Amino acid sequence: MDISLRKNKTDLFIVIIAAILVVFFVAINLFYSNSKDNIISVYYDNEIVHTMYLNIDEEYIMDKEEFPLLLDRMVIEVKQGRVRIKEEESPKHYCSIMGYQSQKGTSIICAPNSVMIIIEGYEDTGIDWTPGGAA
Amino acid sequence: MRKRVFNQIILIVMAFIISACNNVSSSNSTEYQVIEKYVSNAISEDGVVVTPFNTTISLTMYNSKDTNEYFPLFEEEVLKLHKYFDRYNYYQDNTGKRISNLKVINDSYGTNEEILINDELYDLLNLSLEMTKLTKGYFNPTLGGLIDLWSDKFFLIPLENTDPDNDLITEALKCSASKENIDEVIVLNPIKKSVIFNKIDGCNGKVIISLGAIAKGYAMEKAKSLVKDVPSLIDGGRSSLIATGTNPNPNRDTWNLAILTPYTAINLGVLAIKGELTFSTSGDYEKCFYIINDDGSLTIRHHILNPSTGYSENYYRSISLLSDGNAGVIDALSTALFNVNDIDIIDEIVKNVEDYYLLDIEFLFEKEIIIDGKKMIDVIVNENFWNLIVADSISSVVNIVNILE
Repeated sequence: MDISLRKNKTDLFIVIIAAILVVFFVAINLFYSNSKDNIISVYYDNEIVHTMYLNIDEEYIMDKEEFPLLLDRMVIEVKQGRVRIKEEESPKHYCSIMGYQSQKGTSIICAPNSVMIIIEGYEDTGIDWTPGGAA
Repeated sequence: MRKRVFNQIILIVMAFIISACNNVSSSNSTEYQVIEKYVSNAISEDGVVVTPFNTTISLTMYNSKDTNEYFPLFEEEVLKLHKYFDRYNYYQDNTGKRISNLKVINDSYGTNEEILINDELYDLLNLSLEMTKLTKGYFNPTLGGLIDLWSDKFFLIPLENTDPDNDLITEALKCSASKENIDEVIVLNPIKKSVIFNKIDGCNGKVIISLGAIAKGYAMEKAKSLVKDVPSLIDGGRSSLIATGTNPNPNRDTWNLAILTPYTAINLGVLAIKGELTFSTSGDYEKCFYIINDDGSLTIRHHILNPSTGYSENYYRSISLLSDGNAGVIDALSTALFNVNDIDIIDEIVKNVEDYYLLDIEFLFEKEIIIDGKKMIDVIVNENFWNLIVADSISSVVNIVNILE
């Protein structure tokens, strides 16, 4: 069998390049899917205006000047894998009373301010619907 | 050699492209996904942003194709119905003309003016009158004045507050119709699809029609007809639910619903139901407050008001109803039954409604008791309802189950 050292070096070079590419794409894919699983979409007047991540602590401030349907300034906080409306103006402050949410598929709806926060994704808990009781 | 290197790199790149294509095809528009979309706010004639039915209404579907096809129709229908059933705001149609909605009807109180209304508002008013009689007056659509006395006092969670002035409550009760005279107060003309809102003798203020306990369910039922048999969950403010079709969840084919207890994070059990269903629950633990009695004990006041007394009742902590349709009727019934303490009268009212609307209705009532200082729940339930509860899901806070055949 005719084995050429020169050819082996080339093959080795190709294998290394391929391995680097594979590691690179796998890393990118893992990072992307991880981020996607943790996406929090902030809706204002039914449009996504900001995206946050459960795994990245952040405070997002919405001002009335930019979002005129707000009753006043609103602060949305992501902290330690949970999201809440930290500050807002609404009748009896229902929106901030709801506190932190962290489960995929759940939402915080602040109708008086036309704001909705959805933790994207779905987590099958075995229950399709849980009532709230205020008929 | 260069050509060979180039070919190998091309092969690697193609492998990644194929891999990427696989990812795209796996997230196609019919792939199982739980997608919940909420109905947006309405804008009144005065430019006020109004939350439809004063709550959140959503449609959950299980792939993006169905969601994109049905949600716009669903949302349009719910918003349209909200505008007709809203008693607080005026709205205009596409031509800029004010629509004849519930606020317009309330404005006409005592004027003898005949208001022409659309089919849905006519149907809803007619349904409300029927339910008033079928529930022996425990459901009452003319409590707007009474509700306005209480509504600002309620809170999302129980906090301390005080009752409205009792004299005001007495006056408000004089301004509500009874099951005996409601047909003379709200006079419907089925041919012209019109309504005349007549005065009540002895009422010094105004009678106000409020359809809050029935309108949302009615609207959900109408919107359901647009979704047809496509699997979906229609959620009305976390108190009403319509499920259509079969649950496409790959792990089960039943719709699994939690039944709440008044205690945070404790479910009484889980209902597992195949196929279409209508569910409604009423509880005293939201939209409520408490008063401190002279002896230091607490009494919960909540949003379900007894048309006879003007106050809320504390017979039950929660009522859940399950049916095979007609969400408006089921919502109104759960509200009415909260005011009934006698199980025989409950049976009679439920039978009245079942026979009239050709429905099968199952119910579950939760009563709170205290045993050795520990809060427990007594359950009064239909046998059929109880059989739908997943056995190993029943909470340890359940004390006694009274199963009715």
